[in-house]
Amino acid sequence: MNIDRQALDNITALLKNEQTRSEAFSRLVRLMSKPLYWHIRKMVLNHDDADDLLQNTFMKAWSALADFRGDSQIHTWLFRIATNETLTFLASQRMKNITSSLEMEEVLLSNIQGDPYFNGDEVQKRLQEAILSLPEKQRLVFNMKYYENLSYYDMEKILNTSVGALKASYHHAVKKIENFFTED
Amino acid sequence: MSHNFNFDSASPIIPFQVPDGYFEDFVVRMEQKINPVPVKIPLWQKTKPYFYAAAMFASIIVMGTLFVKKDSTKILPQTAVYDEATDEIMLETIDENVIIDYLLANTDTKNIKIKY
Repeated sequence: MNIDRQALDNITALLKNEQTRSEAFSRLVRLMSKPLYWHIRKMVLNHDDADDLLQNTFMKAWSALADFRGDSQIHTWLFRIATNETLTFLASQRMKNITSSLEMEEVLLSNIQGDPYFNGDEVQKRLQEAILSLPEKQRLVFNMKYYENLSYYDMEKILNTSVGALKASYHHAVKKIENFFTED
Repeated sequence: MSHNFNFDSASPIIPFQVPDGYFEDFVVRMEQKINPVPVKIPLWQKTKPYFYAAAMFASIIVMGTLFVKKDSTKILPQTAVYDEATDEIMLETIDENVIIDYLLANTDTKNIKIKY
């Protein structure tokens, strides 16, 4: 993931000033909407849900800007909000489907099959199926490392998990996916 | 159908799309949310309720006035006409001498000075 760190530092400085806050936030949305969208979309799979969650993420960030003290970098802070929003959404979806005979992952997979915005081939579809078979946290780690190429340092800040645990989690996820394909 | 997946050879491809112009549109939507344009309410809109209230009171007053006037113009002239007609009829039927006698009997003539 290529994020312009210099631009983020400039934006962070402008966000602290009340007079430039609004303009700086617009620049932040322009810079971060794509990586955050894909981060969310790969977890919820559906475009409309991803769009709603992305809006919620930015609105929560906007209303909590005063609380942002700069202890973490602004992009890891945004990723943390997006991750929390996504996990909360998935938990609520799981509760909604609790009476259904289908597992949550099966519902998500069926969404892919009818999704006009899914353009992967058969291997990509199988890969999504394999990723969906992972536990939620492992799925997050796998997506962040494999697709977004986030550094373990950033992931540590976002997921509040040690680098060692993240590396182990990613390694297990890769093994499970490889097994998924060979067992098929 | 079996498909092998090799992480070493496969480069990550995100198999999802977004609607055309989605990200540009999203930025605009977010800007509108964080900077909502204050809606300018025209003076006419602000004073509308007062205007309607004033118009209602004015119409009540006008209607009330017209109603009262209409009633009074209906009754008063008729009474007046009736009274005048009654007087005329009575005077015609009474003899002139009777009237003179009545006036003489009921008028204080002491203070009347007759000049010859």
